[in-house]
Amino acid sequence: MATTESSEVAIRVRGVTKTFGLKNAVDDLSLFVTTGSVFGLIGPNGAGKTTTFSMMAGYLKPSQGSLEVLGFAPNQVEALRGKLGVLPQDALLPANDRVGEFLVDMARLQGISSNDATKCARDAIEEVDGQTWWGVRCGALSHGMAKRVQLAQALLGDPKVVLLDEPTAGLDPRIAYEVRQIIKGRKGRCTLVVSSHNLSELEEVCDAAAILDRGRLMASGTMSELTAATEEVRFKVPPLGQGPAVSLSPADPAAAKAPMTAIRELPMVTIAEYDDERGELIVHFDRTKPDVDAETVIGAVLWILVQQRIRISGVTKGRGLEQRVMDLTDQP
Amino acid sequence: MNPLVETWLVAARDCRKNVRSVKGIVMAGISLLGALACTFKLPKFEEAMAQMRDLGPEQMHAVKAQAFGKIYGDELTGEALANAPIKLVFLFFIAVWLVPLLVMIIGFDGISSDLQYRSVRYWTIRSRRASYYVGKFFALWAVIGLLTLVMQLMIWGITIARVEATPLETITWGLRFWVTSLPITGAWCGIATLTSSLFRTPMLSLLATGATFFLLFFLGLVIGKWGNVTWLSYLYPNNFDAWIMSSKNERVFEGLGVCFAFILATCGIGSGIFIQRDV
Repeated sequence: MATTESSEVAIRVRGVTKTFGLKNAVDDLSLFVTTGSVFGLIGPNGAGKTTTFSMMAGYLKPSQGSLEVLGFAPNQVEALRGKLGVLPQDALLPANDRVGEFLVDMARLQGISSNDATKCARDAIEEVDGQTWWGVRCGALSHGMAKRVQLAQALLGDPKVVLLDEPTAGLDPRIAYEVRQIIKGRKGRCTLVVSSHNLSELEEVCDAAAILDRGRLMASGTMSELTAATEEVRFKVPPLGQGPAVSLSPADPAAAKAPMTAIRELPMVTIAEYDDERGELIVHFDRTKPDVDAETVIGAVLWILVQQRIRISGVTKGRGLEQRVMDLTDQP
Repeated sequence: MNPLVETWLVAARDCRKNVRSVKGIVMAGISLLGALACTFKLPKFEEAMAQMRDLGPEQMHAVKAQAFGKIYGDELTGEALANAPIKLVFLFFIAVWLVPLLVMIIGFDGISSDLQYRSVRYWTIRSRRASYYVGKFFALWAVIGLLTLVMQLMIWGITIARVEATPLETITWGLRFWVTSLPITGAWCGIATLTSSLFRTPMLSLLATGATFFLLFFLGLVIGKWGNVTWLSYLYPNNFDAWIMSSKNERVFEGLGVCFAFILATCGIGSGIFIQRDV
């Protein structure tokens, strides 16, 4: 989604730097988000996620470089009116406004006629399951309710690009799940950019992502590319050692081999090693060979492990987003 | 969308917010109480003055004309104002002096609180920043204008009920005074909106607005008007009431022109800065 610019691009960031005083919050960042994808902005605190997000929304001006949303600079409000929806992270709702009138005001400013604005606002609040809050003052909403009203304003009028900064932060698991379902429900209808600390959430909803650290882009690409899901598989097993020999062909006992040797000799396997720290057998494979994919490798390796009656606690494709982020952002 | 429509939507919503806010309601209450207090005290004061100086109605008229002429620097204006119901003239003085205080208290957090709590971010992706800024300015102007109009209406009602002037006289003079106060109010609102937009912390904005108003008072009135440094007197919007009330057209236009120059300059500079800044 974000490695090649072949398909249509919804958001393009070119060589963007944002400086606050002497500190570079974002340093020469370039990335692009494909139309219709769900794109994650990932990184630890201070990585520059929110700054990047704020520049995409036009809240902050880049010190250098340029950004485009649907081909326009983010501050070209007239061109982007109604096409860009944003859920900012720390923006409080106006406490004295009632939820309904706030959403109607926002809809009117998006260019929706006064006749349609109420319906549009009601549809948006219904989507986040908050119909009963229409007449409630925003200041009286709980954190979870306010977050969903903020999400409703971001989704008002079906914008083409929706930016969500920490959409599930501080929500209880049930509401966070509902918010994720709303995001998934929007997949394909618009381009979504989600900034979050919650890696499992991002892995679940995103098609592609960029990993940032200290303002720099550490990696970007599709989720498969980032997690190497198409290059390696991991098996949660006890240490294999050399173990008793196993024959890959029951009919030929002479061909019996130690499990690690047997795995390494599989034709599609390029590297097989055991990670003592994580208790995982890591198998890299050559995906360029015909008919070789992660599922084929899992099948072949599992066969060997089952032959040996080795207890298997889990199998994952790739190293997992969390591990990938830890690897990339753990540099001194 | 037309920028005027954007401005209207921002201003309408902000008016609603101000009128409903506790601060707006309290300020309205205080203003009305002040207006009422003036109303009840003033006739006794006038009577006492007349008795003390043993003046008849005509002599009283002459004294008023002389006093107002001196205040406004124009005998014809003084003569004209002497015909106005004295309560309304008094209220006009009070309103003009009260306006900076009202503007400061209602307007100090117009933009700064939106910046502090980042609520401004809901607006800036939907409206041009200049429209947002100008909408905020017009909302403040409208709310203060409304507040002073309510004060006027109260005094008009009392003046008419006590048969101190005919309804026509009361309403004509009352409207004239109120309309005269509007451009002056606009100038103060422009300054307050500009100051408010420069700070993210409403308390700092309040202090800065108060300091700015005091500086303008000191430079424009104390040094400019009282110290006869003419060019400095242009810095204090409350000096412009005399010009706008003048019987000389060129003086009226000068007063209106300076007020609107204040409005244009503050809105231009303020929205220019607001467009460039990070929110």
